[in-house]
Amino acid sequence: MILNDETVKKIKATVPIYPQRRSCILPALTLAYWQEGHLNDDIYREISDILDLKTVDVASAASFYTMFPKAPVGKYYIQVCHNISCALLGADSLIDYLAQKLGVKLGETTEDGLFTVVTVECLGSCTTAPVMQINNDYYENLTREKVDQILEDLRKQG
Amino acid sequence: MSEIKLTINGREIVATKGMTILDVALENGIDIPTFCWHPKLKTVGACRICLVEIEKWPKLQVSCATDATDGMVVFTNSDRVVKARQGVIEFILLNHPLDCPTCDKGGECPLQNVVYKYGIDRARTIEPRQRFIVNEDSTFDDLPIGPEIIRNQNRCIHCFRCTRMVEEVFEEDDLGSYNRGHITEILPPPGREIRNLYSGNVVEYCPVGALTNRDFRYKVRVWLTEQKKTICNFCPDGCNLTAWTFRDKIYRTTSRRNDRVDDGFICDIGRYGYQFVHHPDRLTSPMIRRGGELVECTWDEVYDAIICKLKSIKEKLGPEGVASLVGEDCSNEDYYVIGKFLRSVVGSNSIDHRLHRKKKLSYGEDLEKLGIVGTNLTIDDLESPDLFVIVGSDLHSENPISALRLLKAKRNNDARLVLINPVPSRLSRSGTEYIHKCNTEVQLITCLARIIVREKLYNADETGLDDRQIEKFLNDTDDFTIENVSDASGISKDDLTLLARQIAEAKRAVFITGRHVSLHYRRDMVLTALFNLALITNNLRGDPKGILALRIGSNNRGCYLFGMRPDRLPINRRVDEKDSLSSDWLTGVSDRKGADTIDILRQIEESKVELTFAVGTDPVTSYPDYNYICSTLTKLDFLVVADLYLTETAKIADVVLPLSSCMETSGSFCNWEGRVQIFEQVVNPISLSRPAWQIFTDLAARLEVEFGYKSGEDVFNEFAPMISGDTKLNFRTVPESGICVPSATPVNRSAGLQPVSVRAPELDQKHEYVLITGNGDHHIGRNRTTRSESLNRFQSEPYVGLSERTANELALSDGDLVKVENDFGKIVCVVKYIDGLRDDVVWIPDNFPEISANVLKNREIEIDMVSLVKV
Amino acid sequence: MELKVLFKYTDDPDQYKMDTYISHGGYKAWEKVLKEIKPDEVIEIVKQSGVRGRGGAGFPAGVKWGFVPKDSPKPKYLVCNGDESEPGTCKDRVLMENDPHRVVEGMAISSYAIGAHHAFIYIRGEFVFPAERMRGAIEEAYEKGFLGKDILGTGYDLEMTVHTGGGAYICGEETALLNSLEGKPGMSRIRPPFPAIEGLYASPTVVNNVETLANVPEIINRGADWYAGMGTEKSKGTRIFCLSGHVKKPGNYELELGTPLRHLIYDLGGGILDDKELKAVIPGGSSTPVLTPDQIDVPMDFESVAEIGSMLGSCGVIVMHEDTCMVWAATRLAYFYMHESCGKCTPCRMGTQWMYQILSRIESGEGRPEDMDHLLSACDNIEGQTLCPLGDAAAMPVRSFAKTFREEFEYHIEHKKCMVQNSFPSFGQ
Ligand SMILES: Cc1cc2nc3c(=O)[nH]c(=O)nc-3n(C[C@H](O)[C@H](O)[C@H](O)COP(=O)(O)O)c2cc1C
Ligand code: SF4
Ligand code: SF4
Ligand code: FES
Ligand code: FES
Repeated sequence: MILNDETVKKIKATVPIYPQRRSCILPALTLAYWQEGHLNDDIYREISDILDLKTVDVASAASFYTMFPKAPVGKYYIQVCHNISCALLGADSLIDYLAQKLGVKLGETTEDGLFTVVTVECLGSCTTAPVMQINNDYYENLTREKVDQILEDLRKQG
Repeated sequence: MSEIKLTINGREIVATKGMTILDVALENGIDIPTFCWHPKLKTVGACRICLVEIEKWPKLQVSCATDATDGMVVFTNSDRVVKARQGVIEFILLNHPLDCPTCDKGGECPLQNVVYKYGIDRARTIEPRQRFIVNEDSTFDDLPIGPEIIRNQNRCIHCFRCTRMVEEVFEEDDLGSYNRGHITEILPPPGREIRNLYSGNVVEYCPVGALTNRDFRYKVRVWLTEQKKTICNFCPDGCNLTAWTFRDKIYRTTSRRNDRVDDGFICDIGRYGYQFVHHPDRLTSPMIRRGGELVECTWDEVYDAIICKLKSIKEKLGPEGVASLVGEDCSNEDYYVIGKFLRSVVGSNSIDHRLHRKKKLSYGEDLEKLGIVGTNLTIDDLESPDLFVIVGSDLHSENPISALRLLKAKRNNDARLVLINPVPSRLSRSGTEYIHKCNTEVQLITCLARIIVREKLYNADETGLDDRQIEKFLNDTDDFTIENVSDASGISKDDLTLLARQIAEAKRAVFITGRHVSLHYRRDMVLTALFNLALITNNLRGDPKGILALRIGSNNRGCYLFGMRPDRLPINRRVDEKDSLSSDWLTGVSDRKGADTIDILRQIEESKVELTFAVGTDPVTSYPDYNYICSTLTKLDFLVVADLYLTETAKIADVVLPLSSCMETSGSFCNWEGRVQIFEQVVNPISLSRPAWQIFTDLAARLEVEFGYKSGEDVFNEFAPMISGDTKLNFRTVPESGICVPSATPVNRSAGLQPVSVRAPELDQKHEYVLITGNGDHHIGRNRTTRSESLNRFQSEPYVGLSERTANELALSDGDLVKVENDFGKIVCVVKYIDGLRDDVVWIPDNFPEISANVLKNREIEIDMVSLVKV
Repeated sequence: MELKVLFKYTDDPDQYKMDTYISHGGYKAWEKVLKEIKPDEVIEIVKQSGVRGRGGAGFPAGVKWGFVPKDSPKPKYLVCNGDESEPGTCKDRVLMENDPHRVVEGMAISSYAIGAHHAFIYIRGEFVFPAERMRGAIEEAYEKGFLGKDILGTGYDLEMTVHTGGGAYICGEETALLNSLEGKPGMSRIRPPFPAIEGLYASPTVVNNVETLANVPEIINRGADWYAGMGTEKSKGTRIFCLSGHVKKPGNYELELGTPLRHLIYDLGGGILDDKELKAVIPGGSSTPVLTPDQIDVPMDFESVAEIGSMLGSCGVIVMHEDTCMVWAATRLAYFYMHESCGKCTPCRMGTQWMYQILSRIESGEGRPEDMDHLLSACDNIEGQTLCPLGDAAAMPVRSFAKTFREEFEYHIEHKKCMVQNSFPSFGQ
């Protein structure tokens, strides 16, 4: 079993909320993602067992949504917005900077397993561009200094 | 329904409100291309190829999802429409590989046809086409996604017919779409295959060559094939098929949509089963026993041998010294001619298609009077009930296409499906299944009736039940209290109450019984109990409601219709009613009942029957007592076996006749509704084989009686007026809907509540497990489906199904060898865990040559009990 | 001039808390509605106010509520659309984060008006913090008895649920959102049936944007006339404009509808970054046709923006200065729409891919002369012919860039290089 008791409990707790059980799929995927940092086939099967739903429905839904990585990523999953408002304020150079600084290509994970950098579409924070999301947190109005600081802090946390 | 008038392409058309523009167009022969739309699927309006222009509407609209309204002015081919369609095609072709020369859909591809019609003569797209790479070296990127289905995602145009069909129509869970946008792909769920019983339909419904099957791919170009109309005869549903042949060989069978019967779908058994026809095991020549060995000979030789024996035995024992056993998969023509031969030429009425144990599993005269043997329901009727109670049936594997109608009723009117079964069945995916202890059906059903009565959930006026009757019923059945029955059946009191209430609540319920009931030692009582329940809930008759007792054997109804019983003549007339049938050959027929299977076997033992024809039947592996049937049949002076293969019974025969299958002759079948449907000859008889009707026509001729049949069609033409009451009806004029022969006497409601009793079965107490047999995955019967390579890809070997708990108690795991035994015989086979199986049940799929469960059966006993030993 | 109705308290760091919200007059409207106003009357008031949908299409909210059949035996649902994924737009997030109770109260009133007993707010999955704030507010509202069973003793029940997405722009489209909420892939559904008749779980459903619903409490408190007094004749009230891109002071500004775009960019936004020349403005989120500097005196209301060939959309104003390559901008957006197409209908699934393929070739100097025609023809074959409006949303900006700045595209094709060369403020400098 990949999902721990706590996650399973939380997934089960979503059942009474919805008039139809299939609605629990996205909450369940989200909880699984928060626990594991990514999703995979085994997780889909576990979720369909927990919720007594068809695996095909869980897997098909999961594959549609791009927020969940479908393979392991670093502890810190850095998602840099490359959409228009951010790009107008230098998102592309931010991405280059990050990749260079971490010594990885987009989508790759640093050797220490800490960081993965990917680009994402508009994060809904365009007025504070450029923006990136690391796991669940937004980092806005990014500057080179800010990025250095953020990475340093995260490294310290390990 | 209100009428509307609209104009399409300048033509005034009258239509009905609620129809879409596409419906109206199709009905009026106006061509609008479609990809995602399909009459059997919910409309999604996704592909956009069906766009039309509507006056005063600024945007083009998809005709498949736009209702036609009064006064609407529609153009289906205006410049704007043509340009838009070309746009859609251009988009589709952006990625669709134009590999038509090597694509199996070529020649019958809706995309190809639409491009042909609207296509542009030059491509504006120059980007390399997107590939879903499976194999770097082959641009086909073929990916097997199931035992039969190969996917080529590059060709997919994302109409989602396949996934919608699997989800909506089949309620299966083995195909889905993944990712999104232009990288959307079609796949089974992770780690699984598409292997549901209907999986082949996705190939047929896919409008491009994205889904193909191993059966047909790369074997022959469709435009070289000929198409013949045939009828599936693996189960009693009678789906309509088209057989595709090339140089006298069948290459595939596909659905020949008949909404009354199959609704445009066929199961994989119907689709791939035809492969038995060309299997190398087919008998190629008559054989005769010489010096203990069966050796090939000519038809003249066997005929001479048979006639010689026939004459001498008839002389010695009288005509009743000759008997016939027939299988349930032959054609009506075969039955008619066999019956005619035996009754009018030989003079014996000893003929039967049933393989009874010693105590007859009868429906009894009483039941027939109640009107619940046979049915007046049609497959179509199954769309409208709001409750189905399935008792003792794995409907999914016994009547796969009828089962889909239940799902349709569920879709259309929220019908509820309840299954009361001794072993788990696949239809439980769509309903609630209660697994009960074996042989407690009578108690269970009666208990449900009692709950409804006691909770006063019945309507005295509608049912015509008075207090006195009710009182008596309650008194008579006071053993079947909810406590007692819950204990006996293993179904909780709450479940029983819930179930009873659901049945009482339903407005239109249909009760369906199947295999487990038709083989039940008290099937008369099970049906009587159901009669009571249906009476109490006012579900005996009226709108589609009632009791539907389905039986095994694809042309079982044909057997009844054509008198394959010692006491019946064609159209199920009793032998003493022969005068009611106007046919010359009946005049001389004896009006004394002949012997039924049990009596025939006894008379063989007593040497009163010395010649037996076994036509299309293999009692040695299917009679519920292996030892007895072998010893009895070997006592015969002369056993004539006519079959497709050298069956176990054929191996002990004195002469063996190679039978042609239904693909090699014309004729008709009767499905469970009583619908007689005709089929054309698809290929020439394999080798020297002959159809049964011809064999018996030949034999009659050698006894100086000329039947004069040159084809199955001729036989049909003789009996058609008899069964239809229409003297002009013949093979060429049979309507698409077939001929419907009502089968049941009207339900006798006034009969009132019937007494029910349970008698403990006679069983062998030494063994602790109940043996139950059924169909394996993708198989029906023993001899034909196992000779289809495609079907064997789904399952090719038998197993012994046990609950995981039972297996573990015996220290057995999935795949271990186990010995199943009792006083009569033993079987050694691998164990497979079956989810939901009761711990006291052993389940064996009885289709495969390796084992045959009848070695564990004894005709004196009512319930088969066995022991298990780890090997 | 900023006119703060929705933003009146968003700067108060405690506004997200129940007590603060109440001290600012919160939940008065809810109480009033429950105790004094019949559902039909609520709908009438909202109709009178003239408030139109803030999600993009601008459909009058009251009218939409009126479509819900009264006699349907099915349950009814309210769904608040907090998917906010249109590039350039980030207003709902501020409301959900800083004034979540206002959204809760608006949802509650709307639910009551349409007879719903279960309301959902669908928040895009990335908005973990705003979702947390919304959950907190809902929890507090349950505690206070503003939600749940027999609310304030009136016998009215209402459950409220936060549902988060998984990263899909299309889930902002209402029918895709409903599919997503049902646990399915977020693919759009064909209309009719409209959600008001067959929406969530095939039951009557109203879908409204966060900002739309956030207006409702004040409309109840201050009356329809007060609300209708703001804005223009057909575009009532205020809207939150999200000013982003090459401006000195980007941010969310709440303005009366009809305020000129120039005022937003130059007065509130402080003008163009680095005092460069303005080149192009997208006025209503990335899906809306681009405007040129000569058009920025347009009053920002639905009608006026439509008149000059664009749309007010979601009010995401994206400003681009002279150093911005228009081919690049169009390509960026085309990529976005290709990435976000749900893939259900052909013109969008394939058209977005083809547009991106053509544009990226042109951008990288591999364009061919006929590409411009092909691009525009692809737009023709997408626009108006897709199942849901995402197709239009994808084609409109591409077409407008290609037409408005055609010479830049042609320069790319002819010279195999860029006319302007993006020179953006590299971040951090
Ligand atoms: C592609 C697409 C994306 C959309 N995204 C959003 C969104 O993120 N938020 C939103 O409120 N409405 C969005 N909409 C509009 C919704 O479909 C719907 O019209 C709106 O939520 C209705 O609320 P309103 O009437 O209050 O605006 C989108 C529409 C389309 C076609
Ligand atoms: S595989 Fe065939 S049926 Fe399925 S979506 Fe693709 S084109 Fe349609
Ligand atoms: S327009 Fe795009 S997003 Fe909308 S249904 Fe079609 S493919 Fe999906
Ligand atoms: S464009 Fe980056 S947050 Fe919107
Ligand atoms: S057939 Fe009408 S949209 Fe596909």
